[in-house]
Amino acid sequence: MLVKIVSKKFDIPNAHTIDVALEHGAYSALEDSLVKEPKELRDIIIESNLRGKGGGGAAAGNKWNLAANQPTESGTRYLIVNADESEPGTFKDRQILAKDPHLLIEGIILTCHAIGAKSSYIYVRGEYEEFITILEGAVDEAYAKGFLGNSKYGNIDVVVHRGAGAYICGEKSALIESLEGNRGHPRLKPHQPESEFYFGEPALVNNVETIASVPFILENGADAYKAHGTEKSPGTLLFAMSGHINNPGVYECSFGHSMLDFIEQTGGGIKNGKKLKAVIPGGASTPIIPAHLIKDVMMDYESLRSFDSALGTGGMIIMDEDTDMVKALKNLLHFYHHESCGQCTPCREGTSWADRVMQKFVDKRATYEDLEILRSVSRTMNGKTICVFAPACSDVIDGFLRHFEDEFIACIQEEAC
Amino acid sequence: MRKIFELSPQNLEKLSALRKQYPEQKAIVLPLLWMVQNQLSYLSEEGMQFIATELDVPYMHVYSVASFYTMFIFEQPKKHLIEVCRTLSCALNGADDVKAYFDDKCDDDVEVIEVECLGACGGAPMCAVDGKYKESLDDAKLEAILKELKC
Amino acid sequence: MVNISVDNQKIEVEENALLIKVLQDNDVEISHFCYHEALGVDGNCRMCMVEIEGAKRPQIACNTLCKEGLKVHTKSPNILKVKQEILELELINHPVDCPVCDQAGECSLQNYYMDFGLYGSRHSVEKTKKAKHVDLGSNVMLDQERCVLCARCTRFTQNISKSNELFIIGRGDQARVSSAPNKPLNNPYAMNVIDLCPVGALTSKDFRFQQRVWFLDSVESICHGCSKGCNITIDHNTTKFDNDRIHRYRPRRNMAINSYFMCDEGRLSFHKENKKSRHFPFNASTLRTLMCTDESKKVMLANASLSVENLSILKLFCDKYSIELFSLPIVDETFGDDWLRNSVRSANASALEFLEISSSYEAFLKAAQTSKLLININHPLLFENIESHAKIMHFTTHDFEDMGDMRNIVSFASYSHENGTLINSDNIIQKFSKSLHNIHSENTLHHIFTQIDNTLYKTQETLWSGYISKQLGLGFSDIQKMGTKLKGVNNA
Repeated sequence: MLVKIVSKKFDIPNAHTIDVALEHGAYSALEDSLVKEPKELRDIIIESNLRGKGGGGAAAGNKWNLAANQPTESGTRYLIVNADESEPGTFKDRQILAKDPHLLIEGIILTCHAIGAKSSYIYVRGEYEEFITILEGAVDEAYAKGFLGNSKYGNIDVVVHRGAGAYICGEKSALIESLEGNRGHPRLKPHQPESEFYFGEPALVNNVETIASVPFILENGADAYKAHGTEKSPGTLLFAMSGHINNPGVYECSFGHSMLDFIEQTGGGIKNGKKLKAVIPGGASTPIIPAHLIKDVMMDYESLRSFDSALGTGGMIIMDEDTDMVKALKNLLHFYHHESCGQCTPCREGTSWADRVMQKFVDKRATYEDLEILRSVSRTMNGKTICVFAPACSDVIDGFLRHFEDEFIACIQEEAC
Repeated sequence: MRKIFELSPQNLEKLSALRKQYPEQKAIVLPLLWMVQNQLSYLSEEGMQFIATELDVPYMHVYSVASFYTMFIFEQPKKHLIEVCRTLSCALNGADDVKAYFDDKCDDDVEVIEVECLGACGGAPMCAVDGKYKESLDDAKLEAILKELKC
Repeated sequence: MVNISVDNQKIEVEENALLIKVLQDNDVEISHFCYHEALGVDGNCRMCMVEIEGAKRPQIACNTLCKEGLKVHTKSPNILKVKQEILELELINHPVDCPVCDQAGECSLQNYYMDFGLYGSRHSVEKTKKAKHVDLGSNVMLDQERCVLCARCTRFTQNISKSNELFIIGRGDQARVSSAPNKPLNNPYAMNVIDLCPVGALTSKDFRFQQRVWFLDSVESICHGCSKGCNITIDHNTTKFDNDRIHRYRPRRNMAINSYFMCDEGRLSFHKENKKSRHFPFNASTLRTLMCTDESKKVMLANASLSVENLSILKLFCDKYSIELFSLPIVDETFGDDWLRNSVRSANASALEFLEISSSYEAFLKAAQTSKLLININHPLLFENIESHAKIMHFTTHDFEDMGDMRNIVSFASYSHENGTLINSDNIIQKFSKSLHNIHSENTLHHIFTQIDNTLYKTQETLWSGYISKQLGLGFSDIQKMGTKLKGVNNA
């Protein structure tokens, strides 16, 4: 079940320093891969079925092709690494930044070569100050050792860019806006499939873990990667567990295993010997799944979709039998209310209204009409906004109401008597 | 007389390096906001005006951007800042108690606030003390934090 | 060109035309706050949702391009429900203070609520509190709680006036429009943000609390503040015990001239139009004796803001009685810019060449010095510095300082009291209409001079067909609604 591909060096002391990293095989994918044509590298990624690991799970190879093939007069292209990890329940990318930053840098050099980029930005959430320091140290070392900058490895430049506290900047177009020195407002959807654009030039935005998976795939081939996981969800993911779990943490695991086994075996079961009540499977934005369904859930994109949820970032929030679902939803709606960028109406007003209505439930002041309001606000937020923030919030509400409606009704009835 | 903001010599050096790292100067708004805040411990009007002038963008653009991000502050902060994560995994593991503990024990030198998920859910409950993550908080760790802050 | 269908009506449009623009151009009602032809697409309000056949979800018309076969529904029950739900969210933190709001009657929120809202309020939680009555400067007042954050005003100051005073600060439901402390709105076009604001968030200090807009009568006119010829709407009315008064000028869309905008100085120039002036009646026979009987040298100086019709009647009159006619356009180099403000402050300066009226200052001075009678038609130059012992006769629309011998003053109707045409600095001729009706409206310049000499063209129609159309090379009915570009004088 547990595999060591991206997390290969996590347990090695001081693997974030280049000397230790080199001893353990860092940058070994470069020599062979950089002599290949960029298209050849992209074909390997497409062949591997690598899926983006930031939550969406889209095919990485397609995005690479869009960025590589987007016409540009100046010939400039950019690689932007999304390290704005802010999805509640998710704390996997920071493991790479802190424990094996050279794997990320190696992935960046390879990806830049594959899409024809020379400059790369790593956008790290502002709160990760300590990990930024480690990452910056690693970048400096990579320059000093001739992997970055003027080197035989393609003259790639890497800049670490610090965010400043805005969940929405994890959305790729908001991230680019932020990286251009603006407010983190997501951009309108394009009219046809195209790459992202940084200051008007084609750009590829990939999650940290996606880029960190690249060296293994290019070094060992697509088949080696596909040997793990399922047909449609190949390879591994840094799954995380938090909440009421005995062994919280990040564990690299191939796709397709039983979620319940993972929670019980790797996670050591529920804290204090209690029973499982529900799991939010892949970061706060994925709909909650109640315990009675968990036994059938497999940890891959397709299985979770079939439970009206999503794999997301693989960051599971585990809740025991005593968890108050009304308070849990209120907690999350407070988060969405706080983090909405405020650009478009349904999200700006919907998240705040839903949060305030939930407060009535927590205070036992809610009525049946409030339950209806929650549902209708959720409906209005779904599919009518610029980005997927509001639809995610909507999915969260729907998930709680789908499986735990009785607790919300109990709140209302308690008020009534 | 208004005080004019100036970057420290080290930061000036950093700024000239930054100018070469981005295709357009406007992109340096965030790095410069960090520099000013690190230097002054908050963003003053003069500091933001300095950024506007340096990057040839309107002052209001700088302020508009800064006000979007929760980590930027516009007033002189207290000596220490404790940010207690309040989001779900921490809440399930007693974030409320952590917040109440600090509210109760910390003196006026310390600002205790609740913040949204800090990406340390595996170490719930957790907080950041002056930016440094303190995870898997228990009684001993809480006491150690107070000792460190001399409350 | 491609064919699309809107509510089952076929429309032929340019490929990739913006759907919302197509809907507007074809008079299909489409609710929206943020989209504006002059400001472009922002996509933030989500009010222009339409149903597109084949699309899973409703789409915003402002981010939809027209392709062959596009089938759009703007009024299906589904889409009305979607819009109603979004409107409910727009209003959830709005103070709903229409009874004290100056936008009432011309507010998009109100209009859409009447169109497809009309639900009972489900609001039962506290509202987001923001700042009210913020004085942004330049007569603009902001109420952040009424704001729908469409960002039209911020986009105007950032992209159109490029003065960058207004930005959105804060995030989420705390986002709000703001200016910097001690940096008020300060640009010659600032008040346009009031018109751009689709709701009551930005109101005019000059207009607010004056009138309910549904009590105003609106007339299409042209700003007389300079030679640009910005199209305006004059909002006026008569209240009890008062004259017909103008309450505001609003810019009127004309993409060839002023787009949707006008400068603040022009906008506020109605105050001068409203100024109470004394009524100095005329006596036709006295004026006839003075101007038409003896052979002595006479000079007339006409204001170059007079309409084509008024300048023409003066021209015909002067030619007949050998009066030397001059018109000196007023030029203020500090006023002009490269947009809507022209340094030539006289609204009809371009007409002088077409009507063959001299605008030479030197020639005027020379003539004036030997003249026995100086006739001033509303020109601000009051002859004080001219060495002459001539008698002076004033025809004026407004009282002026130091009026001297009042027996030599005749008042006549200013531009808001009559119909007319103006030729702007780009040689575009445009019509303006009479808006005010009161005692000053009776004595138009045309009326006065046809009373003095009743052989002159009696009406504007005959004046046009008999004289003006020959000078300009086009007839009155040839003038388009948005003005018609004249060929140069030599080609006329």
